Amino acid sequence: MRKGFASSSRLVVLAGVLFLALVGICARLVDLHWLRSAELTAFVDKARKQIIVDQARRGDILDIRGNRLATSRSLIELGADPQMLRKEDEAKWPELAKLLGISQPQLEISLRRRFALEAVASPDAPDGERAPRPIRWVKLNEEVEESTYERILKLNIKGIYGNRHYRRVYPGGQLAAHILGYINKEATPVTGVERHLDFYLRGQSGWRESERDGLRRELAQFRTREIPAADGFDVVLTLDTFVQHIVEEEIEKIAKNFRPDSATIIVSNPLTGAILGIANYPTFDLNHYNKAPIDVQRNIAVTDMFEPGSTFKIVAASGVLEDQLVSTSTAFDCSLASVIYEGKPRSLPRDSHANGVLSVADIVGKSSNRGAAHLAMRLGSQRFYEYARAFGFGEQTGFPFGGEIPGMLHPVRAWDGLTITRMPMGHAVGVTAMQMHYAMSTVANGGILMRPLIVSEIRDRDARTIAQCQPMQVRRVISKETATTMARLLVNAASADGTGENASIAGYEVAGKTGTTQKIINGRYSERQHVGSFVGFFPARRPQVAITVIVDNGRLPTGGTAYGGTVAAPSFKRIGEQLIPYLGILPAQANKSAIAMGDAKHDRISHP
Amino acid sequence: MKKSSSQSALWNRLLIATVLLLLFAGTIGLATVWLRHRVSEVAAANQKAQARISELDRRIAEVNSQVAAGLSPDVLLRQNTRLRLGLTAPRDNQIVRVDEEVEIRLAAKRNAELYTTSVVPASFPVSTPR
Repeated sequence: MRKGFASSSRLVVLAGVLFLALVGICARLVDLHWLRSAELTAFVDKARKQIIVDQARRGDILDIRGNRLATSRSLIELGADPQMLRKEDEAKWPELAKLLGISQPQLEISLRRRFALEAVASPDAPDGERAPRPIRWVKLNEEVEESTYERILKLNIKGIYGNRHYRRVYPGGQLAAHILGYINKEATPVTGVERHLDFYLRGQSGWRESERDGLRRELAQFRTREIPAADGFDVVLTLDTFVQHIVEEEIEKIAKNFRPDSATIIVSNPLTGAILGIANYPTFDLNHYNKAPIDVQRNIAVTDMFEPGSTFKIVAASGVLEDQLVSTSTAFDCSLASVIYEGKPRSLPRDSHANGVLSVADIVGKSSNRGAAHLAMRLGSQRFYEYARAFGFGEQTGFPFGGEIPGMLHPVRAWDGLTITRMPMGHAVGVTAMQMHYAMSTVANGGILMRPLIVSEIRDRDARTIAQCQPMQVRRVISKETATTMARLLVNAASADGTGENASIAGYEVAGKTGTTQKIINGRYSERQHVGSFVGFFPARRPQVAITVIVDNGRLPTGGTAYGGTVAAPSFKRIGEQLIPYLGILPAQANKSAIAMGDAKHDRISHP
Repeated sequence: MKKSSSQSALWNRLLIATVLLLLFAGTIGLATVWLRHRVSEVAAANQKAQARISELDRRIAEVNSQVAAGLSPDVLLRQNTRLRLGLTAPRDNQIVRVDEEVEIRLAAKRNAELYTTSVVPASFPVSTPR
């Protein structure tokens, strides 16, 4: 056997040293991992562990053609720590001021102030004693763009840094302001789609548990749990930016020409109920929502009601035709000032122009108040009420947000003796613009009342459809035949022979009804303040667009009465003419309706 | 007392085994450290790539919002005025509506071209009786 190269004593020493070293290591391990484990773990957790939140990006709101109506972008809140600023960087300040869009002296004032006087909190300090406190953060700009921030970072000024945050931007400014709603500074959705569909839009923030080094940088290799952020879904509306723009441009014209208290325009596809454009006056810029009074932010198309006036006559006319109580040629004596109804004499409302015997077609075309009262009485109070309900009055249309009201339609038991003669001409009833629009759309849609459709679909970030909103029928109100007959009568109402001549579009059959009603001021019907409206659709035989224009207290430059035919019907025409080429609406092929009409130019103002 | 040579040999073997064990453990340790280093390098690279992706996403969102703002009807109209382009919406009388199926008409036209091509006259040698 070979002799070993080391003596046994050396081996013993070496073994002893190794043993002692091992014992020492073991003892230290026991100390660290067992005896002081809790204390040290807590310290390490505090010093190194961190939870990083990964903010989800809020989804965009798009129009039906994919144009962005609301989107999110990151902005940087830029600031400085005056304690960290270096003398040698001062030469870069002019460039920094230029990038921030502020003057150099202004920047210098912010950066050179290194201490702030602060009240001393010690109980021993005399009252009012103030001591300097070092300033560690001076805000320079709240909304620095990413590209600008990159250029600022390239300046390499120590002590200048930014905090990133997402901000909601509305590229169209005031476009569809009352529909989109907005997110406030606390990132809370306040109104509109932003609030109603916040569940889909907001997404789900992610987080990860990780550790950081002494310079507070994340040590990615020590990531333990990681939940990725799920970005919000995109919401596609039925609105069309171009149609919306046309509508808003028109409402601006109305505001400029007639200085109304308020105005509303709604454009929709009557066959699906999809809203293509909706605008209110006054409006506001979504990017500067904080400058707009709350009152301006209401979507008055669903929150405000008004007496509809003559546009409501479609209810009585449709009802009597549907119940086959009359034909379009059935005549009524509209010269009578009162009639007997249910055994009692009832005074009839006045017409602006004295009328004699009028057919049902004439009553609609000439917008006779007395004629409408005759039609309703022929129908009977209960049945007339039922038709009004069936057309959607007195209940919410189902417009999903904006605080829709149901309007006001009293049941028959709450009516007084005059209601049966006044309600048919649109008095003693309160409706919203949305209700009136969808009631008229019912006629355009072959007698079926549709639910307003404003959200088309919800998509994920890869443009895959998550949910799709389909057109929804509320109920059938009148038969297709009655709806066709009504459309024919309404074509005459919107022609040179009716009250809505200003709405007619050359080469197209426009069906519609004007409305002019006196406003109730201090409990009395005002002779000077009116709500003028025009509600209609075209082409009458194949309706593709329904348009409602409502002008509240328009003021004519000439000082006359703001009839619906004067303040609202021209807007219908202008909007319609612009929509024809855009939507590819084909002109009418058929001849003009043969129903003879009188020479009425304006709808009748209802005199109670 | 002197140790026997067999005892020394045993100790030597033990020592060699210990040294080898230490070397092995050291190698394992070094390998672990190297692996951890690689893990941290990869993690840092991933983090950097992730940060870059986020940065690009943010820039894309910025550009998208600028594009959306630039495409808003108001801005386009202002550009139209500023650049004196004189662009207007088409009037109804400028529009020619095609009611028929364009694809079918074009297909029919193409087919007609194919099948009505004029026949090129050709001559063939014909054997004649001698």
